[in-house]
Amino acid sequence: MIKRSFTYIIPSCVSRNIITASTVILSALLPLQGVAQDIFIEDTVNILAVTVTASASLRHSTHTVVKIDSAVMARYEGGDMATLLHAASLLSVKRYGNAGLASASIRGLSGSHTMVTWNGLSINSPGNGYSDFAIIPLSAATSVKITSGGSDLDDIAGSIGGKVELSTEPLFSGVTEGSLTLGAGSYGEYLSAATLRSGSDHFAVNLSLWGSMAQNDFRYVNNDAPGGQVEENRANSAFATGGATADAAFRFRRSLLSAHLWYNDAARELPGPVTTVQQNFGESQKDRSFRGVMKYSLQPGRLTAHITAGGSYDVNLYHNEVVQLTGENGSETYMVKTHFGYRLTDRLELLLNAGDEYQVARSLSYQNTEEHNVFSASLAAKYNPVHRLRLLLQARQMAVSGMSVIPEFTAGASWLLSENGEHIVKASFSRNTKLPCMNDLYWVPGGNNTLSPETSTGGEAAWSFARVASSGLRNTLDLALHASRVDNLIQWLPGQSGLWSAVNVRSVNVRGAEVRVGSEVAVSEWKMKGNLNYAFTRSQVTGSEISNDNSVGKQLIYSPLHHLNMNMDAGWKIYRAGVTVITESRRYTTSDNSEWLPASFNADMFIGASFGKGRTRVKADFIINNVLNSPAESVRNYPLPMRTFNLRINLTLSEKPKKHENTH
Amino acid sequence: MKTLIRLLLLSVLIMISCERADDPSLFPAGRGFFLLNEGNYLAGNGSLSFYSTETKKIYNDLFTAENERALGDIPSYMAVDGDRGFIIVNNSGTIEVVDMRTMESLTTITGLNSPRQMAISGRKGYVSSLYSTAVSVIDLDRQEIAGSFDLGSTSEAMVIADGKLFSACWSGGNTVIVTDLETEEVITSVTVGLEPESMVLDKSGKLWVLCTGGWQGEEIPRLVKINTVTYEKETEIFFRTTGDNPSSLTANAAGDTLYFLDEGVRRMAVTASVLPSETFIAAGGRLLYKLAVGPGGQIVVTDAIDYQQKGDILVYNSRGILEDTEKAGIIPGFMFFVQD
Repeated sequence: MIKRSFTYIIPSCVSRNIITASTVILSALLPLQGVAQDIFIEDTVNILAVTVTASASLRHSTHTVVKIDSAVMARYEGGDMATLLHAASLLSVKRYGNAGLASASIRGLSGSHTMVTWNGLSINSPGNGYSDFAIIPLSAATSVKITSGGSDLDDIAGSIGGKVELSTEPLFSGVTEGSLTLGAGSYGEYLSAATLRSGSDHFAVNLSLWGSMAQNDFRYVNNDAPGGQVEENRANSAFATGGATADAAFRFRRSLLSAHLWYNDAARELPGPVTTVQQNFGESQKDRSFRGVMKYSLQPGRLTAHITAGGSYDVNLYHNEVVQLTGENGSETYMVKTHFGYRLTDRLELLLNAGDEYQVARSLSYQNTEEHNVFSASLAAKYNPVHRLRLLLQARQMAVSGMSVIPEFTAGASWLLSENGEHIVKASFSRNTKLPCMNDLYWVPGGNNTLSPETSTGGEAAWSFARVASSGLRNTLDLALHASRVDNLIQWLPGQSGLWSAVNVRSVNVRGAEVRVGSEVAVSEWKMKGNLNYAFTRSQVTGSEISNDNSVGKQLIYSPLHHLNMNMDAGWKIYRAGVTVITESRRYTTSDNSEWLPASFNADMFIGASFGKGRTRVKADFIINNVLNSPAESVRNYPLPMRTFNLRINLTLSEKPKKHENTH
Repeated sequence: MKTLIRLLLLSVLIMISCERADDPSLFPAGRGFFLLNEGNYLAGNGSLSFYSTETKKIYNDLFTAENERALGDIPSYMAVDGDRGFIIVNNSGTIEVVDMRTMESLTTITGLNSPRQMAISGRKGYVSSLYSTAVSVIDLDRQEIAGSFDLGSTSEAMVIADGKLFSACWSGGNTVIVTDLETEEVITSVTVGLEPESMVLDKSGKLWVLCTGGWQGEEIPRLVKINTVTYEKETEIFFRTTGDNPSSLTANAAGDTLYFLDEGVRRMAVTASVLPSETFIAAGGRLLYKLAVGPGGQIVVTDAIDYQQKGDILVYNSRGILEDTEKAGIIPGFMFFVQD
């Protein structure tokens, strides 16, 4: 069992602690209600405007950008980002067991090709280029936005797979609200999350705290056990995570200043693979991060200006009991970026982005503490020659220490097929790059500081339909076709000495189709809502510099050809229920596609009730994960739990009627 | 008519039963070699193949086909005691004891710490370890761990000569440790080069040790000849530079010629005092991984390609002429020759 590295809201005994924690939080929040009444300002219009504007701008984007529905996010409250992305987006999530390292890939590429930002700050590990979504709790973001493909050149450096944007923007709602979520589940799982938000028309503040822990010694079936199939308990798999975010924003006339802080702490035992026997190397890992971002934006007349500065300090402590290895890896990222826009005419706007990102990383496997600096500038023009047509042309040049990078560009157009914007068609074409991570460059042995950046050339065409009924119910359908070619793919391969090294060795063709459907229906007192995402992604190796390479023409490993998920919720009076279905086709585990994980099908469900009186609202959900009790693996030999049960209770105290809840 | 039908049914039954009785085993008996495909680290997809030098065909996935389960994570070595094989499955920490005629698993010995290789003497097997300084002793009759003794260092290759166990301290080491198997006590250690990777006895009972010079190229690799009676180093032959990466030292059946991998296959007489300047078999753009020489002089090398797909075996005759290429499992590694 991992020692907890900080104090949690909930100690060990569930029932006693739920009561204790509720009492503590209630006692803390009750005085605030009185305070809040004085600063309460009606601001419904403002909240609605924020929501509608965001949705419209995403649909009008010349490439695919989607925001995960806030109601879907609420279903996974208290959970981790990997679970949300797997269940509610087209990202393919690969995770080493249910609490193990989790990466997410977009459009058939690897997790290192997915850029992850938090309030504009890149949080991919400078070392391996990945973001571990298993240790990013939902509580760390109020909004999750996903860009597919590498067309977005607004950041300092890009990624060729796509981007996951996490943000915690405070709302100037005038609402003072406190919320506490407590949960307990199978295999010693306990979780808690508390949020507090308050503010006025000019000032807003959010505070969020969370903690979770689990023994996680779940049952699984070992089909390859020497004595025949057996059911076993997972060993060395406990985890404890916790953290906090704090956001404050101040706006005055046409300017906005905000500050964001995030402390994250995760301590995990790392279970070994289950081959014929369950291996246990006594591995454990602690990840601690402290991140901060400040933003200032100004809109005087035709000019818009944004300045963002931030930094991240990350420490990773690793221990392997078997080989008595203890390692400390650390990294720091600092960035500052500016964005200026000037509207020359009503139809033409010029945009200039410039920024610098400095990374420093240390590892037992580096000879030195390594540094990396990226400066980039991009120039864009947005032009609306006619009312229905929007054009975008953007070029970016990166200057990277010790590396030459080709210019990147993106060109796109969106066309309103219907005057009311129900139907939009769009197309974009881009060429962009992904820089090697520090492990690729400096790891000893095998790091290769002569690597070239990976490049991607491709585009997409999409059709978007959205209809909002007068009742407010929304129905959407989005279709996208995409194709791209990735060259100079970086992979670690053995050399003559048997040592592995990073090389630019293969080319990959990616092509696919994506479908997103969202529907809301109300019948009498029933309200139903559903979201469906489907992706067909063929990502094939097309060229290789390895002799006798049988991976050419084959699908990339762990990239499913078909991925589908669906979330359906139904509500009647105070009751609600929902089901989530996720299915993926086989995922190849060898580069010649000779071995694979079988197709997976998982179904989760919940039933619950939501009721309130006065300023208090209580939600209680009973959740069954893996309803069909089917064995599954996301990474070969790292089993996921069979059927598990969770109970979650949420208590919200608010100074405002809850009609604002769907606006954030 | 009924009689005819009965006869027909009877003949069909006889044919089926004959077929079952003669159900060809998964691989033919006779000369050839077993091949352990290591599989990917942590993936548990190691496998067992047999290449018949008579049919010139490879028979893959024998263990899984026979036992309907995986062999494990990184099968690295196979030792044979009569009609039983002991397959060391390194990262699973197990030894699969199999019937050599069918590959049926007889038992699985568990509880080993990263076992690597096994040497047999009498009714005992001695198992080296990548992580532990102890050598595990296996009771071959009871097929279980009977004890252990400490070397003071981790171990890899093992050779038994004259009742002494010679253990190469490969991972970060530079010694060959000599243990008296009667007393299971260390007699001495011989300092060789950095990371002794493979060892073989020649026709004179001299022990040849191939030292890689370290995984980061800390030293120039070398071949060292040790007198197994006096434990003196008799010869040290250095390679060219620290950039050389020799491996897989072995010898022919007569024990008069050494073979090893070094940008292809090289061979040299055990009487030579210098390394061969030319390759005997060129690598031909392949990344050769393991080498074995059969009793008939066949030379077999494996190519793991990108280590993430099924590799190749290349079978050459004693003159170095390619006779066959076959697709094996993932990361084809250790080979064990059988005669009849």
